[in-house]
Amino acid sequence: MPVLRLLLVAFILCGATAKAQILSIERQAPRPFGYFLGDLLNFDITITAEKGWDLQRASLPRPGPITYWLDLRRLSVEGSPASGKWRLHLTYQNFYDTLDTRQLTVPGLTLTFHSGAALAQAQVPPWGFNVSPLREVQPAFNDPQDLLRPDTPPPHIDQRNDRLGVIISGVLALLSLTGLAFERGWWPFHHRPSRPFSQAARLVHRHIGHDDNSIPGDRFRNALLAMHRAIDMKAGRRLFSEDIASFLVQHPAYKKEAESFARFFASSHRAFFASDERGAQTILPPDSLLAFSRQLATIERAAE
Amino acid sequence: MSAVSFNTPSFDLSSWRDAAKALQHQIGSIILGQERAIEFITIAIFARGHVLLEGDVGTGKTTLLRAFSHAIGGAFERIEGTSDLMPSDLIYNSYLNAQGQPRVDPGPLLRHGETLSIFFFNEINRARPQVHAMLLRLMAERSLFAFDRDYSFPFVQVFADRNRVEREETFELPAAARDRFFMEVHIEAPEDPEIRRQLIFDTRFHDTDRLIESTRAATVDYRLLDDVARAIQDQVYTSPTLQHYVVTLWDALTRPADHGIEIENVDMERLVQGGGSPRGLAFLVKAARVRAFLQGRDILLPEDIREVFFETVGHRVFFDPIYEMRQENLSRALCRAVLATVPAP
Repeated sequence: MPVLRLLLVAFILCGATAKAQILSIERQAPRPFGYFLGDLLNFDITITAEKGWDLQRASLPRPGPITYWLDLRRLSVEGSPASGKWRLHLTYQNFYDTLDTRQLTVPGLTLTFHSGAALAQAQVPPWGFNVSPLREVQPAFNDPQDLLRPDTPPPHIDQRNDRLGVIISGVLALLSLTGLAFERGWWPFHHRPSRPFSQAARLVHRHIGHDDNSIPGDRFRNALLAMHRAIDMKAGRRLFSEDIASFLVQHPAYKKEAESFARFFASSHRAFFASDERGAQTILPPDSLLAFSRQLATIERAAE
Repeated sequence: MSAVSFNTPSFDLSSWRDAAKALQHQIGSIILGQERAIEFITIAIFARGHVLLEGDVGTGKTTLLRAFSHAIGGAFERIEGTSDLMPSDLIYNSYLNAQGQPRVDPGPLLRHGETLSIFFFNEINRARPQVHAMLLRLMAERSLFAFDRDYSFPFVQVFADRNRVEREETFELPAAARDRFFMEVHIEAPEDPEIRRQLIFDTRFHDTDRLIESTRAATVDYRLLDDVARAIQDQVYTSPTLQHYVVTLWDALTRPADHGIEIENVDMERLVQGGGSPRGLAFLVKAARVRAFLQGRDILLPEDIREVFFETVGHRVFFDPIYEMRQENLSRALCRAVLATVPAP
């Protein structure tokens, strides 16, 4: 709606002293025509007074009926004597039920400012506007159905962008979920309880499982090493022969293999620390080592 | 790789092992609840190494050493470290005799001549660096220069006690001095309530002179210990795998971050300034060999290394200054982490 901007600077005729106190009155008024019964009219009035002059609240109009056809619905005031700027927001409502187009006038305002005992008045002039009558239009119809207008067809909404957005955000969500699952170790990234002995049994089989007599020293040593690493992993530290007892207390499932553990370490001692391969294989022949590794793997699977 | 034969010992070690066990048992019967310390001192005696004892006051350090001295024979001498003690105080006494004549007599170090077997320096960190320096020479060379000639102490073993309670008026042992000690043994009061009760109420433990006299003297002969120690070192075999293990341990000790070792709230990159020393690691293997001998083995196992690791290496690791105040706890944690990380074999 076009807003008519009306600039009115008035020097109020209320004495030479008062004139000097009210520096300007500016009113922003709506369009002056095209009003019907019940329409609202909004005014913004800006008054510039000298600093130190205060608006007397009693001089403001009171919300309520102004005339028999005009109500003041709302009134608000912003401003302070220190700034000298005063803004008034007024909302009128027209109740004039006219039979023809005619001009009506919103009465002016007289606002009083004071500074100590001195008074000054600001005159806001009256404002004229045109009202129009509301007339019933008699529609030509035979069937009451004709009174019903067809529904507006729904507007076409282009969904391609939305669909693309859903797909992209879905993929992103899935990726984030995958990342979270990986980070938290959720399915399918949760690790199965590690089975060092099963792994070691496979390694031992690879090293010495093929021929049953005269295993070369390095392959036998590698098989022993695979078992050592598996035992270390199970214990969570480097396990030496003196630790077998505490290991078996922590992992009681292997208790019945205590003797085999002792033989394994005795053999390992000969192989690694006495440089005596033959002695090592005498204490723990390769097939016994293989059986030991398989036995531990079996217990490991059963213990889970 | 050929098998090694252990069948031709040049020295009958099995009888010496029995003697060592008897020695441990004898000391254990009068010093209660200190089995580990007794084992370490036995190891030090059979490795001919000097020991730094650390522990609370009144935990029986002196009694322990006197008992060992009594059992291995030879003379025992003890001196208290004070801040005004000078090297000459260890070497001679000067006084006026009954006839008013000035006399100079040999001091505690020289008094017993070559028979000195255990020299106990109590509260070594109260003595001045001059005294430390003289003691270091005694430890390294087993000789002293006094009265215009060299005195030699072929069988001497130095035990020193470091007071860890006070820091006032003390002279902290320099790194070089601590490195000369073969082991640093911590002696704590026994935890077992029954042993504590006996130590408090059993009058047998109150008169240390009688307590020590009640045991057999000279169970082993201190004059033969050097030869036995050499035989032990010669006869306990260290395989290439074990040698590799020890070298890796040293590397892990000096560069723990490279081996993935972590200690809570410690920046591993800057923790260690100097970790071990060739001498320290040689002492480690020396002590481990004696431990293997005491266990009745002629091969060195990683268990032996682990058992003596902290006592022989822990005090040789020097930390960044911001961690040095926590040296004891951190070196224990570091040693434990290194042993738990480095694989053997």
